[in-house]
Amino acid sequence: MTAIIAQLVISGLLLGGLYALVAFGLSLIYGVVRILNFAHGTLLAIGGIAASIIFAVYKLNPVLIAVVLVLVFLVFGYLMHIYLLDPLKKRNPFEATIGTVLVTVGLLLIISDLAAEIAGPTPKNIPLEFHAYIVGEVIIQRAELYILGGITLFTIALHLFLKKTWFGRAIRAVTQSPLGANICGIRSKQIHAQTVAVGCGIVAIAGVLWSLKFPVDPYGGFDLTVRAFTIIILGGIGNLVGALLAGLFLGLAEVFTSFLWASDWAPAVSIVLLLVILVVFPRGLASVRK
Amino acid sequence: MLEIRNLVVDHGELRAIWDVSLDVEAGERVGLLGANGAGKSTTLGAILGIYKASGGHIRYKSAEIANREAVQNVEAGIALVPEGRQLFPEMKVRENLEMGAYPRSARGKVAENLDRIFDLFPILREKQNQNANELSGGQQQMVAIGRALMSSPQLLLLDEPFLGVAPVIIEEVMAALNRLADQGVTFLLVEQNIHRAMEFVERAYVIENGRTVLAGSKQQLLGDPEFSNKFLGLD
Amino acid sequence: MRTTLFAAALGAAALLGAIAPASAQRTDPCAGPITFGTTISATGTNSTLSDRWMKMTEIFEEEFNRMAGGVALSGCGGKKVPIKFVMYDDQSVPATAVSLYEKMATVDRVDLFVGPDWSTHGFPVSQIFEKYKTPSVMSNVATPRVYEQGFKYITGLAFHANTWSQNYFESLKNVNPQPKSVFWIVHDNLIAKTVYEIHKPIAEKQGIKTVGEEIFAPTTRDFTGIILKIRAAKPDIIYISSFDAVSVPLVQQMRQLRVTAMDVHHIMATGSLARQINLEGVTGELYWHEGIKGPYSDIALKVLERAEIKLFDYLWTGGRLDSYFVMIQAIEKVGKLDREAIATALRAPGAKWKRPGGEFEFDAGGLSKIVAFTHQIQNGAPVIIAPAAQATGTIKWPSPTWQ
Repeated sequence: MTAIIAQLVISGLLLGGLYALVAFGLSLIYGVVRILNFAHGTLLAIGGIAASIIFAVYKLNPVLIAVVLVLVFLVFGYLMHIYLLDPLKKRNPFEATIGTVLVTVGLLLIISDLAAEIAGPTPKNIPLEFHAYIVGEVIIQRAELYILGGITLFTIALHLFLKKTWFGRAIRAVTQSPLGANICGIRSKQIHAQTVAVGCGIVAIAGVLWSLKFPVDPYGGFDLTVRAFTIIILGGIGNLVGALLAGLFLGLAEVFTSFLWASDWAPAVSIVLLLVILVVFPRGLASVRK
Repeated sequence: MLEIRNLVVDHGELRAIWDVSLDVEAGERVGLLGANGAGKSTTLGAILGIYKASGGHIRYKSAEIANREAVQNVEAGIALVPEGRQLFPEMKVRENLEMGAYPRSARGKVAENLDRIFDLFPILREKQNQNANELSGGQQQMVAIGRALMSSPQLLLLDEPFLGVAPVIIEEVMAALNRLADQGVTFLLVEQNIHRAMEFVERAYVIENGRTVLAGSKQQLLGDPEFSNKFLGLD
Repeated sequence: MRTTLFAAALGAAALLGAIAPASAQRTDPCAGPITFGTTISATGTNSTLSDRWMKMTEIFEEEFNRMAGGVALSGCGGKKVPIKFVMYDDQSVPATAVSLYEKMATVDRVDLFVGPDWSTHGFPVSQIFEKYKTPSVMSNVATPRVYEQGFKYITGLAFHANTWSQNYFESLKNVNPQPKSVFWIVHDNLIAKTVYEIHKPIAEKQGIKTVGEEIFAPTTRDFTGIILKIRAAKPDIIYISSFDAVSVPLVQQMRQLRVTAMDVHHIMATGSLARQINLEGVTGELYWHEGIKGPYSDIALKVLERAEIKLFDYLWTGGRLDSYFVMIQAIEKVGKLDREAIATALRAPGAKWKRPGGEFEFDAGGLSKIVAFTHQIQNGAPVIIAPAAQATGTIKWPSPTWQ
C-alpha cells in the first residue's frame, strides 16, 4: 500500500506542478491586465508541439529548445497585447469585457487550427527515453525527476524575479493597485504588454516540460485553461506560492480520485473544487490565512 | 514653481474641471479647498499626469507639463500622496516605500531616502517587514507619504492626508510635514478639514464645481465672510 | 431601425422559403452531375482520424469520373453521368454538422448525402435525412442505437459494434496459455463505450472474467490511478476501447510503469499511434488493408496513393470510401436519380453490396454487417491474424513485449 501511495504522490506532484506552471502565466496576466486569456492553455499546447517538432528534427537539448521558445513566445505575447488586447481598452467596460473573451477565444480557435494545419492534429511529445529507477514497487523515470527539478528551479526563479527585480515588483504593484503604481511612475501600458509577454514566455517553458511527460495536440489546451482558472481562484490572483500549492493539490486530488474512485471523475475534481471554494470561501483560500 | 492657467479636465463625457488657475511658489505651503466633488483631487491628478488636460496650461519650473506622463513628472520632482493612500496591500512596508523610487533617476538614492523616511516616521522602521494591509490607517498614511518622498520631490501634492487618521497620529504626521517644509519641500495640500488645513498652509485657493472661486493668504481668507460662511460655519 | 426590421423580415421570409421547397427533387432524373453532400472532420478533435479526407474526396471525384466514367444510369439509356461533391468541414462538432447538412439540403440543394462520420455526429444528423427525405450512406457510425430509431433514409458503413472484436475473441479460443481474465479501459465516448458494453458479455461467455473496468475522460493525462489498479488486478488481457490519439499517454504510461499481460488489445491500434508509442505486440482491428484486393480496389488504391493516405495511419478511411461506392451502386441499381427509390434500394433486405474489402449486407436497421480484420503489430507493421482465410501471419502469444 505504501508503494501505491508513493507512486500516486509522485504522479500527482508532477501533474500538479505542471498545472501550476500553466496557472503562473495566466495569473500574472490577469493580475496586471485584468484579462482572462482563454487561449493560455492552447499556447502551452502550441509550445509543446513546437518543442516536440524541434526535438524530432534537430535533436536539440530540451533546455535549449525552451530558451528558443521563450524568446519567440515573449515576442508573440508582446505583439498580442499591442495589437489584439490593448485596442479593446478604448471601448466601454462592458464591450471591453466581452471583447476580450471573443478575442482570446477567437485566438484559441485560430491557433489550434493553424497548428493542426501546419503540424498535423496528432498528439506529440518529446520522447526522451531515460533510465527508470525502481525502488521496491515504485517506478520513477529519470525524465520525471528532470521535470520535477525544472518545475522547482523555475518556481524559485520566478519567485525571485517577482520579489527582487524592479520589473517583477512593478508587476506585483500594478496587480495590487493600478493607481498606486501609476503614481509611482510605472507606465501601465508598457507593463501590461511586458507582463503579457512574460506570461506567454512562462507558458513556453511549461509547454516544454509538459511535452517531456505528456503528449499535446493542437486542440488539447482548453481544459488546461480551465484548470488554471481553478488554481488561480484557489491560490489567489497574482499569488505564486498560492498557485503552486493549489496546483499540487489539484494534481494530487485528480490522481487519488482516479485510483480511489473512478478515473472518469478525475477531470470533474477541478470543477467540484471550484464550486466548493466559491461557496465556502468566496474570497479564495488565500483569505483563510488572515 | 507651479503655474496653472484655465485648466480643463474631462472624465470621459463628464467635465470635472472647468476653469482652474493657481500658482505655487517654491517653498510655499498652499491649500486647495472645497467641498466634496469640487475637483480638488482631479486637479492634483492632472498635475502629476494621471489625468489628461483637455484645455489650459500646467507649467512646472516654467516647462509645460500638461499631458506629460506621470513618470516624467515624478522624475522632475513632483510626487503625490493620493486620496485613499493606494498602497500595495500584499507588499511589505519596505517594498511599498521602495516602489516610490521606481523612476530610474530615483533608484540611486534608495538607501539614503529610506533612512530619511525612517527618521521621519520611526514606527515604519519597526514595521518595515510587515505587509501594508496589516498597518493601522495612520501608519498606512505614513507609508503613503514616505513612498512619495522616495523620489526626493521638490513639490509634494497631498490629497486628504488626515482622513481616517486618529488625532494623536495627525499630530505626528503634521510634525513630519513641518519638518519637510523646513527642509524646503513645497506643498500643495487638498483637505476637507479646513481647521487642520489652515494650521498648515500659508495660502489657499477655493474651488467650487471645477472653478477657482476664491484665493488669498490664510489671514485674508479667515477674514473673508464668504469663506467663513462656506466653510468655518459648516465645520 | 426600420431598415433593420425590414431586413430581418426579409431574412426570415427567405429562410422559410428556403425550407419549404427543399424536399422537392430536381425535375430531370437523368441530368448530371449528381451531387453528393457531405461533411468531414477536417479540423477539431476528431481530425487526427480524418484530416486528409477532404483532399481524398476531391481526388475520388476526379478519379471515379475518370476511371469509371461516371455513374451508369440504366433508366436513362445507359448514359454515364459524373458525380460532384459539395463538402464542408464540420470541425468535429456535431451541432455544426447538423447545421451544415441543413444548409446542404436547403441552400446547396444536393441530390444525395454521404457521411457524416462518427456516432456522435450520426445521431443528430440522421434526423436531417428524415426531415428532407434524402438518403445518406454514413461512414464510421457504428453505434447500433443510431440505427434503431426506425429511420428510413439512413444506412451506414462501419464495423458492426456487435462484431467489432468478433474475430479477436474467436482467435483467443486457439491460443495457449488460455486467457482467463480481462481489464477493460474505456474512452468516455459513445462508440468506445458501446464496443465495451457489447464485448464484455461475449468475453464472459467465453470464460474470460472481467477483473476491472475503468472509463476515462478524453482529457485525462495521468493514468497512474488506472495503471495501479491494473497491476493489482493482474489481468491476462487488457482491452483498450478508445480512439487512438487520447490513449497515447495511457499506453506510454503502461510501458513506463511496467504493466504485464498476455495481450494488450487496442480497438484503434493505428499507425499514428504506433509512431508515438511502442505498440509492438499490441493487437487490434483493421477495417481494410491495402493488401486485400476486391471490387473497386483499383480506384480506392489509386485515390489513397494520390491522397498520401495509408490505411494503417487512417484506420477509418475504408469506411469513408465504401460509403461513396455504396451510394454509387445504389444509384446504378435504381438506374436514375430518384431519392425514394434509392432509399428503398439501400434498405432492400438481403441485397448484396460490394466494397474493396469484400461483399456485405446491411442489417435491418441499415448498419453494414462488416466484421473487422484482427491484426497484431509485429516488427512495426500490422500482420493480419484473423479471420484465418485472409491471415497474413500468426499471432505471437503471449505478446512478447508485455512480459
